[in-house]
Amino acid sequence: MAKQILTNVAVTYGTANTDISAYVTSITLSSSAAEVATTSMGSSAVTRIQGLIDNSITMELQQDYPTIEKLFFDAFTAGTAVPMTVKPNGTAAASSTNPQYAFSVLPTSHEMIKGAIGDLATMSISFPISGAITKTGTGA
Amino acid sequence: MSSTTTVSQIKTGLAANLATVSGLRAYAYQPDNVNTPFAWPLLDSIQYNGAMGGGLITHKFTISVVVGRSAERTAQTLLDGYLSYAGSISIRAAIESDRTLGGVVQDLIVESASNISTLEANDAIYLAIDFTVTVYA
Repeated sequence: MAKQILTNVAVTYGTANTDISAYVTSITLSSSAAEVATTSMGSSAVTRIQGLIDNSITMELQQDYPTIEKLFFDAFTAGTAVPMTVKPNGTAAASSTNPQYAFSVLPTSHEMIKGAIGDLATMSISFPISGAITKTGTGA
Repeated sequence: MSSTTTVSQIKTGLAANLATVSGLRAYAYQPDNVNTPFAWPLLDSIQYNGAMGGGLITHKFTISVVVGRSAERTAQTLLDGYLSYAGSISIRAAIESDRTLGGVVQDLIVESASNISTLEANDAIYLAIDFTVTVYA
């Protein structure tokens, strides 16, 4: 597959794997690692190793109270980590062109109402990920 | 809803809402005959891919309403009622009376009324007004 335009990212949220893709307008799944210095006496340059990895996800969603808001509100009030999966090219089986990323997020915030008069109601999500991201898909 | 909703379904739904205005002839497509007052939706633009997987498609419509002969006082009075925010013949209220158009769209909003103008047909001058409607399917 060549360069591509994102139009069909598949996103599930919660223990019931609820498909929320049709409400997602933007998504960023990212990882960063701490930088640990290992420079010692006698070194002529700074040396480093990778420390702990910290993962997070941000999303912009279109609001729908009976489905989206309830799903995220319930998870927020429960206060425990929630499973999520993300695939860049729809719900087809995971593969090198459609790798699946599975992880658990910790809902640390919740937006009940967001928008200006006349605008489509939206909701922003920015959650830290608890633990590692598991990537699956043949050749992925 | 969403990617399964057709433009025809939306036009039909808008016409059905317009038809709740007493005395107004509502059409899903531009009528051939000038038999005032009448209204019909004209699709201006579609924005695809408002959400992943065809989750939101935004349609912009202009709903044109031709009121009656511009010289007639009744036409001008009718226009006032059509343009009002609320009331028994408010076009805005009628269009938003069922914001899901019978369950085929997610939501809609009447953004504005503008372009109050005259148009000439059959040797007569008619009053006309355009309503801008955004439909989220």
